Amino acid sequence: MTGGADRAPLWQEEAVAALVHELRTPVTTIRALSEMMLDAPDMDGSERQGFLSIIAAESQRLGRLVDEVMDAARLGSDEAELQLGPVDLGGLLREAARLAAPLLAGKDARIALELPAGPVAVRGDCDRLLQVLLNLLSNAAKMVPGQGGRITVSLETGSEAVIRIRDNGPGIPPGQHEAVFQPFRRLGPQGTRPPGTGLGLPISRRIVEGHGGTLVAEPAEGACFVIRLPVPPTEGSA
Amino acid sequence: MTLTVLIADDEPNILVSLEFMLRREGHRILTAHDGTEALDLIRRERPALVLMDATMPGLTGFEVCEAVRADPSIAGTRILMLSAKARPTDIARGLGAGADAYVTKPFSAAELLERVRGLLT
Repeated sequence: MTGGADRAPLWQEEAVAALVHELRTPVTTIRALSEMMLDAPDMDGSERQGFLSIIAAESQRLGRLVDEVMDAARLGSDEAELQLGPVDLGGLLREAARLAAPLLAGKDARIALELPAGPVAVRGDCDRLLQVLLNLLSNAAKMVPGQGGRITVSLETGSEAVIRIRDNGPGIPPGQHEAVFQPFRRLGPQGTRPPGTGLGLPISRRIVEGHGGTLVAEPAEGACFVIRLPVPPTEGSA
Repeated sequence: MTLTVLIADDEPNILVSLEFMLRREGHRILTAHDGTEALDLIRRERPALVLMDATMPGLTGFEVCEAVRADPSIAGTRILMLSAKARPTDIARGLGAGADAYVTKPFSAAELLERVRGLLT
């Protein structure tokens, strides 16, 4: 009976209104800048280049938004089959850290891994789990300070595998640790809106829950996201 | 005559667009990234016109609007509210807070300039 509830749409009417709001902003910029360029043929070359780069960036933002809306819609439907197989979480975290390192380019910041010596095996969808880790790492990379930025990725294992991704950025405003998982709720310090589409965290949570796990934000210095995944019984114990 | 116009929006690319558009009109442009900074600049710089996003961090555009109207020293400031919120209730809320005009995003550059010119005459 809970199949329908598990597959509830990721967003309801309020979120659709938020989506429309998110779409209007890049469309506004693209429309205003392109109309102004048409009206101002005397615009100097460097200004024109600057405006074209903004138009390109805003178009890419629209494209990302459309991709993520499609991804979120799929995760809310029965088509969202996870391709489950054996995954070594330690290896996956190393791969995620390697792929995320370029996101820190231009900052004096680094990613520190705290991993157990041996493999930590779970059953999971490798690509989808990597998507979650990269989402969390890219959020952290945006928030860490330019000087002395630090993202710590740790993995502990027991009856479940626990991945913590912590950063030394400004953290999540008090009382907002659950709200960050609402679609289009981009929350930064003092009410600012960090860059992004506002769908990464809700999508990530849906993927982790699809693995029988949980994804939460814990109160901490900086932001701290915690993924818990079930660890299958070791071979021979079944 | 050069008039001072304040533009307040938390979307930097919208600020860039509006700043270019209004600079070409010959105005002196100030920018703010949130509602608190906007209200502070209105009090210090006394702009003739404020173009302001309705949903900014800190103080919202609605709150800034109400604060301006409640302060006799700046209550005469012209305010054009810009918003991606386009429902009739949103527009009514903006005008109810004291905005002189409410323009929904995405706006046409020509239409916005018409509204700006109208408010500055």
